[in-house]
Amino acid sequence: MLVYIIKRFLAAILTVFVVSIVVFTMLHLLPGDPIDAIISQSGAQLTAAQIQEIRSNMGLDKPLPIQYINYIKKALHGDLGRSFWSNRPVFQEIIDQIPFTLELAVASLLIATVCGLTTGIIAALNHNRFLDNAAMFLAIMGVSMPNFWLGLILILVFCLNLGWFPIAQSVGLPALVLPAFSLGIRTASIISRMTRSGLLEVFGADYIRTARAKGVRTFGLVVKHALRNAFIPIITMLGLQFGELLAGSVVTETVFARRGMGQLVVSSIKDRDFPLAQGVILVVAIMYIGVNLIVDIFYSCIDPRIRYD
Amino acid sequence: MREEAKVLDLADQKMSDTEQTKFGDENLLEVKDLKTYFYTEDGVVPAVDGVSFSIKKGETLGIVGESGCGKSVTALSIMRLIQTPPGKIISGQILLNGEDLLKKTEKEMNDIRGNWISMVFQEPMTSLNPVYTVGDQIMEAILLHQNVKKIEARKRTLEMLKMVGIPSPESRINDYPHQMSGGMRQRVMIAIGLACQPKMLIADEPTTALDVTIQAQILDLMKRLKDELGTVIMVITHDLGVVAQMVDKVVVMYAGKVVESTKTAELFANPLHPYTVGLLGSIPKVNEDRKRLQTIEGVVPNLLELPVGCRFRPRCSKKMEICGQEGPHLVEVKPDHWVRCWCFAERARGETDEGK
Amino acid sequence: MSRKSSLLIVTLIVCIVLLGSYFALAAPRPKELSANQIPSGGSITYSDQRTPAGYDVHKIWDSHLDVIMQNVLECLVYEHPTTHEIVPGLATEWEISPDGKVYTFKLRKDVKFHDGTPFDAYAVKKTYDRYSDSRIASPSFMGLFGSNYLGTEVIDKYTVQIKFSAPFAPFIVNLGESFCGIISPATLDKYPEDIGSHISGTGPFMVKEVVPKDHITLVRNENYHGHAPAFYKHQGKAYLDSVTFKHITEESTRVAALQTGDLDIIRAPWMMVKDYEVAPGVYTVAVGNPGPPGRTDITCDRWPTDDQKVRQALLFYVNRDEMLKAPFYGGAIWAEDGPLTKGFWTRSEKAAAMYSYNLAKGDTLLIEAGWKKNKAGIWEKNGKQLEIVIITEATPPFLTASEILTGQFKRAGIVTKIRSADTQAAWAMARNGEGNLVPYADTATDPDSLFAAYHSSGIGISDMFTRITIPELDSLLEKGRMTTDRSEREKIYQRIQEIIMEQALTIPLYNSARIYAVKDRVRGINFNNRAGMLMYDAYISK
Repeated sequence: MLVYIIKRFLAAILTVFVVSIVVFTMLHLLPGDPIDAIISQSGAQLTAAQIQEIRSNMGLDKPLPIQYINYIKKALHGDLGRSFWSNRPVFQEIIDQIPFTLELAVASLLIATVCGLTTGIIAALNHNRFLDNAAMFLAIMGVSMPNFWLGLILILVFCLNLGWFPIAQSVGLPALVLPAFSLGIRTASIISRMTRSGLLEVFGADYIRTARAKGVRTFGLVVKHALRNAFIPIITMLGLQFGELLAGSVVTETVFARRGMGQLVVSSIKDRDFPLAQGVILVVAIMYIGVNLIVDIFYSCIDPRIRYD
Repeated sequence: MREEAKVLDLADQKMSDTEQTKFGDENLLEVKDLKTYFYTEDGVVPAVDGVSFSIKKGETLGIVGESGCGKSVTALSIMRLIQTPPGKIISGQILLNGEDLLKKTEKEMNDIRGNWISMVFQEPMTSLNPVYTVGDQIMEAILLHQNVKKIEARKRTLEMLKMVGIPSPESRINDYPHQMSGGMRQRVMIAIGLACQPKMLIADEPTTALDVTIQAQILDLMKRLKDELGTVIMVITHDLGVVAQMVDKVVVMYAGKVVESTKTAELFANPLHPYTVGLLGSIPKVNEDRKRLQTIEGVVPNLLELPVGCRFRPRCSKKMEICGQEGPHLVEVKPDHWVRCWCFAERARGETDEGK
Repeated sequence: MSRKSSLLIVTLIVCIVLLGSYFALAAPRPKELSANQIPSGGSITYSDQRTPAGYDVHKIWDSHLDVIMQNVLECLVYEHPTTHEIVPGLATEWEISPDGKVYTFKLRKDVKFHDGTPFDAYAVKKTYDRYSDSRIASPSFMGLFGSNYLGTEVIDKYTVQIKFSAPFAPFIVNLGESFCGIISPATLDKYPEDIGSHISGTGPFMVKEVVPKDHITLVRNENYHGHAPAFYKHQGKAYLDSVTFKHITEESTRVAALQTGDLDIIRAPWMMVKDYEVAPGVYTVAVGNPGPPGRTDITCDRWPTDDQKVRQALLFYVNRDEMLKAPFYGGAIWAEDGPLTKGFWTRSEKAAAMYSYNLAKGDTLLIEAGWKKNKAGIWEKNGKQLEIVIITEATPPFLTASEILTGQFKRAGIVTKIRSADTQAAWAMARNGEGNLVPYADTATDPDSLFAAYHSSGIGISDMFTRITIPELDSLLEKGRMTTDRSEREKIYQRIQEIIMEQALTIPLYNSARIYAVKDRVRGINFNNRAGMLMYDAYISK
C-alpha cells in the first residue's frame, strides 16, 4: 500500500508542474497585459513611449520561457513573487484569503455530504415510493438552480426580508451559513442521486443477498454492507466536486461579498496581475490535486481490492 | 481444550439427532401448495404455481429442472427472500418443524435465517462482500445468532475454515474474497452457511459456476458435512450428475409445477414423466455412438403465455387430446413415486378420486 | 405628415416626458444643517463598485482608491470643482517659470503627518522620488507628471521646486489627485515596498485598519486644523468619527446591504433610481463625470469610415435622446454632444452644436459620397453594402450603446455588426483598427486627455482608436500640453474640439454620471473635480 501512496504522490507532483506551465502560458497568451489593464481602468492618458517604458521596467518584455524558468526557480523556494499592483508578496495575498475559501469549501462540502447522503439513503430505502420521488424532485431542483441566482435569492429572503443573517460579512458562523448553503446545494443534489443509484445497485448485488440469507437486519445491511461498497463512487465524486466547489466559490464570494480566493482569482486575471494570478491558480490547483490525492488514498482504505494496484 | 470439547459435544449431539431420525419419520420441512407470483408490467408470472414436497430429517433433497422452472424461486420463498414488489407469496404453507414460516414476522425470520435454515448461492465470485475479510463475514453469522464474544467467534470461524477444507486457516481468515479462487470462495460460503449449525442448508446450484474438478471437491465436502453435522440439505440443480451423487430424493419441476417426485435410484431406473425421460435421455453416454445429442424439442414456455392444459404438452411426444384441455394432477403412481401426467392418471384412475 | 416625422415627434414628446419625469423621480436631497448646528460624531460605511487591487497610491491608478485616499493624503494644490481655479492645499503660494519648466511651491509650516512627523519640503521630495522611481513603475506617475519630469528639489525647509525638461500644462491640475498626495517620509522609510497597508498622510482622516481586498477603515485625525482647501465648507476637525470603505462588487448585494443598513452610501445602479424614492430613508445624488464623454470613437483608416462624409453622416444618424430612453443603459443620465462634457473648463459650445439628429442631412452626405439606397433600403456603392463593425467590451453600457446604435443605423440604412469580447481583448482589437466604431468613456480633469485619444503618436499603442494623423490637430494637442497660460490654453482646446468634430472623429453620446444612493441621516457630502465623493464635510444628522 505504501507503494500505491508513493506512486499517487509522484503523479500529483507531476500534475502540479504541468498545471503551472499551462497556466503560465495561458495567462501570457491572453491579449492585454497588466499595463493595458491599468490604463484602461484609469482612462488612458499615456503616450506610447511612456507605456513602453513602464512595460520594460516591469520586466514584461523578456521572452516567455525565461520568465517561466525564473518564476519556477523562485517558486520552489517559496517565493511566489510580488503582486504587480499591491506590491505585497503573492504568498501573503494568498494567505490572507485562503482561510475564508477553505472555510467555505469545507462547510459547503459538509452540507453537501450530509444532505446528499441522507436524502440518497432515504430515497434508496423507499425506492419508487413517495419519499423516493420527493427526494429526487429536490435533487433536480438543487442541480438546476444557478449558484449566483440562489445566492441572491437567499440574500433577499434571509438577509433583507427576514434579517436572520448578516450581509457582506466574512467572519463568523452566521456569515458562513448562506454562502455554504448556496454553494453546497448543487453538490448535495448530485451526491443524493449518486448515493441513491449506488445503493440501489448494491442492493441488487449477490453479497447483499448472502447477507440477508445470514439474517442481517435492514439497518445492518444498509450501513455495514451496502454503504461501504456504494461509497466508492461517491468518494470519487466528492473529490471531483471539491474542484467544482472551488470554482463555484468565485461566484459565491462575489455575490455574498465574502473574502476569499475566488474574487482574488477573478480580479487578478482581470487586472492581468501575472504573478498574483499565477500564484493563486497554482495554489488552487494544488488544493484540488491534494484533495484528490487524499481521496485516492482513502479509497485504498475502503476498498481492499485497490491496495494492490 | 475445553472449547474444543464443547464443539465436539455439539457435533456429537447433531450426530445422535441424525441417527435418531433415520429411524424416526418426522418431516423437517413441509412445503404445501406454495404459490409465488411476480407482478410485472407485462402481466402476472406464476413462477411457483402450487408446489408441494417434504424433506425428512437426515434426508437430502434435490430439485431439478431447466432455467425458469421455478426451483430457485421455491428456495427463496422458503427463506422468504423474495423481493416484494414485484414478487409475492400468495398462498401455501412452509412448515419448518411444524411452524409455518409464512406466518412469521420479519424479525422472526431474521432469527431463522442463517441460524435454522441457511442458503448457499450459485455465484461464489460475487456472493461475498468484497470489502470485508472472509473471516469477518463468517464471524458475522456467528455473532448475529449466538451469544458469544468475538474471540470465541473467531475460534469457531477457524474451525469452520478447517472443516470446509481451507488450508492454513490462520492466514486465510484475514484474506479478502478477491484473494481467493472460486472453489475457495464457495467453501467459505458453505462455512458461512454452516457456521451456526442450521437444521437445513439450501444449496442453489452450488457447483454450477465452478470447474469440474472443483465441483467434485465441493460435492464431497457437502456430503461429508451432511454426515458429520447431520444437516438436511436441499440441493437445487439442473445437473443430473449432481443429483445422482448427492441426493436421496428428487423433485422434478417444470414451468412452476412439480411434475415428478421420487427417490433418486427409482428416478434414474424408471423415469415416468415424458420430461424426465427426455432429461435423462439427453445425458451423453460414454459408450454411445451418436452424432447428435438427444434433445427435448421445443423451448420452455413463456410463463406469461402458458398453454391451456398440461404445460409440457407443446413439447411432449406422448400428448393426447385431454392434455390440451385440462392440466393433469400429481398422483402417486407407485409407492412414493408421484407423477403429473395424463398418461399415468389414466392408469391410476382406479387409485385416485381424479376425474377425467 | 410623413411616417418618419410623426415618429420623430412622438419620440421627442416621449423623451421630454421621460426626461422631465426623470428629474421628478430622483429623490430630493434632504435639507442641510447650517454650520453651527452640525453635530460631531458617527460612522458611515461606503461601498463603491470595484475592488482596488491594493492601496498603494503610487502603484494603483484606480479612481476608487483616489476617493479613499483624498481623505488621508493632501496635495500641494487643487482645482476647484466649480470655479476651476487652482486653490492652495499644502502649498500656500506657487510660481510657474515663464518657460513652463519649473514649479516653485511655498509650503505650510504648521502641518504634521498622522505619525507625528512634521511636514516640510523634504517630505515632498521623498514622496515624489518614490513616485517617480522606475522600480515602482507607476503608470499614474507617467500620466499625471508626464514624461519630462526631471526631479524635485528642496530649496529650503518650506520651499520646493519641481522641474521638467519640457512644459506639461496639465500638471498643476493633476497635482490635486490623491495619487500625488504627500506621504510621511518616516512611513516611506519604514515600509518602502508595501505602503499600501501603512499610509500616513496629513489629511482629516487617518488609516485605522486595512484588510486587503475587503475594506479599509479611517478614523478622524484629531489634530487636523485650519488648512482644508477652499472648496470645503468648514475648517478644523472632520465631523465623522470614522469612515469605512468596503468593496462589494456584486450590485444586488450592495443594494441589499444599503437596505439592511449595513451600508450608508453606495454607488448605485441607474435603474434603481426609482426604487430609492420608494425605499424609505434614502436619497440619490447624480454627479456628472467630467472630461471626454461616453462616446463612440470612429476608426478612420478602415473602410467605410475612412471617408469623412460617411463619418459625418453617422453623426447625423445618431439620436441621443432616444438612446437615453433605453432600459439597462447602465447610467447614462444626460446626453453629451461635444468632445468635452458640459460644464468642463475649455468646452467648446461651437463644436458641440455642429451635429444633431437629422436623417436628411445624413442622407445628403452619403449621396454626395456616391452611395445609393438599394431596394432593401440599405446604402450601396459599387455593389457593396454600407457595413460597419463596432468593437466593444461585453458589458453595459458599451454593449448596450452598441446595440442601440445598431438599431439606429439600421433605420438609416446601414448594416452594423457588433464584435464583443473581454475588456482587454476588446481594446486590443480596437487598437489594431479591427473595427469602425469603438464605444469608450473615460474621466479626466484636464483637456490634455484629448491627447491620448486623438494624437497620432498613440496609433496602435494606446487607446487611440481614430488611427488618423491630422497635422494641425497633432500640433495643437502638443501645444496645449505645453502652454501653462490658462486663457491661451482655452483658445487652443476650443480649436482642437472644432477640428475633432469637423473631421467627425468621434460621436459624443452620453454622460454616465455617477449615482450615489445615500441614507437620509448622512448629510454634507460634496464632490471634487473628478466626481469623487468627499467625506470631510459629511455628518450624521440625528
